[in-house]
Amino acid sequence: MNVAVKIKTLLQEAELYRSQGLLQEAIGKYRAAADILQKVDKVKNRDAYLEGIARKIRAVEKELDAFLHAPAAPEMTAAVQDLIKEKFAFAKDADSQPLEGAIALAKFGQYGRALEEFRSLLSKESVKVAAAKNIIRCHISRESFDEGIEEFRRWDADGLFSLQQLENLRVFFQGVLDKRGIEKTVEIAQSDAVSFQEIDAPELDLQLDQGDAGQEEELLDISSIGVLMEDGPQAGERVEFDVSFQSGKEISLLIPSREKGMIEHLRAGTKLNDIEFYSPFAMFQGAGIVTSNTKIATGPKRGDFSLDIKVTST
Amino acid sequence: MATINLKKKEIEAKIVYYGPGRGGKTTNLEYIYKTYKKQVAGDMVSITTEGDRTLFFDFLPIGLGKIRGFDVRVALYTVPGQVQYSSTRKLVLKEVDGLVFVADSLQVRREKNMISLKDMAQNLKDYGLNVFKVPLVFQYNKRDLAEEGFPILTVEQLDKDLNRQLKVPSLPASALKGDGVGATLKECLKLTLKSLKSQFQEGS
Repeated sequence: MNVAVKIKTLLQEAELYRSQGLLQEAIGKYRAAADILQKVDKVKNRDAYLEGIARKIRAVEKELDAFLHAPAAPEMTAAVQDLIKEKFAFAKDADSQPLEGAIALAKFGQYGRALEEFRSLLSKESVKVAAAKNIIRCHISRESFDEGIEEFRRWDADGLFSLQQLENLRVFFQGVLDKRGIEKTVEIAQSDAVSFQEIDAPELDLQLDQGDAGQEEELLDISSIGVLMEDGPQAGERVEFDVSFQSGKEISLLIPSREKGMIEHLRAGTKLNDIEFYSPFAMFQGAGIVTSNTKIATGPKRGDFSLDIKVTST
Repeated sequence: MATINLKKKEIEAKIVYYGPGRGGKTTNLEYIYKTYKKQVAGDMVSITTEGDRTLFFDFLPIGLGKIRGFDVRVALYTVPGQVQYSSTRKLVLKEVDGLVFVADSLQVRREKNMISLKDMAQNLKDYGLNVFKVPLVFQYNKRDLAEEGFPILTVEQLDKDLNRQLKVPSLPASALKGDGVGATLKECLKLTLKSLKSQFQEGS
């Protein structure tokens, strides 16, 4: 094909792709045309043509940039929020259903409305702890840490939760703040604060209805987990791990070699009966089983351990 | 999973239009909204971001009237096609009853089609669903662009790329012009209702 025809064809294709909103493809075609043009010596006004193409590329890049930097979750109208709340809550029981609706709002980044919905659930005993943890999550996502701490203090002052529940929430909140390197302290003002114990309050299954017992339920994207160690040097403590990989209900953790003492107690087949799962939008509890525990033999993580856990219930 | 209310004799099903970004999923719903007014049971909701790209989902409720005494309603959704919206895309797929995979016929989008199909299969798997068992129809969209000089893939090539193993119905379309939009939806509804009927019979 004649070089001039080739360049013209590429430029036409670039324009067509741009009109289709296929901006990367358009940029690719413009660049291909410019590359050919640059290699051809005897072209009248070559520099002007190249500058023209460069201008086009800059314009398309600007469009692409506007898209890539658009707000990820702009505030929606109340009608859209109602739709999200209604259509993305699948639980059948009266308490779990609104909680799921509120979680869906948070997942779609509608934190303001989600907070309102979670707060309205604080009066329902069966879901109030889960609602409170999700309120904390919303504050973390919005980076309104002080507001979150203030809200926690109000729960404390109003006696909304039992001391055990409040301590559970405090540990959760402080853990997330510490993990993100936020130097703020969450404290219980009540003088007779208890030591942390697992609460008996019913934990909500955030993973939707359990009607289809045979089906594998969705597991949210998990960023980290907190395992209540039953054996070993940290028995009775909740130890947090970052999740390095997740595929459905299988999660993988990387554990540094210095934790060898603990690793001994996380052999394949070990049941982990009390795990807290932390996702960007929600925190929930469950159980799992260690499916493999491998010492990494090569590469920069040599000597560390790779632990695979299958989540058995949430 | 569809809601079946035996007392009220109502069935509510969910069909999701899946596929790569800028492939024409929203255009399909817009055409249905404009053209099949009699069946449309409410406003179409579109949540878009820069450049009219779907941010969360589109939603269009339609009513199919009574089928064997049951009032059948179907909610049509699209997912955001752009790669960065993976978590909301997955969320929209939850409890799906039927799928339309809108493939882009443009040659330059060949790989994107395959990546999107793989993503859909994985997301279904994460929900405990098998892509081979969920009612699914392929729509090979943008067939009209050949006339405008775009290099496009042949239907045979698209079938080979995407439908070699699945062997589900595939239909050519030009969603912008409306060609094939109704036929695609009709085919998907047929498969979805058939699947719901067999699920219902198994459960009863």
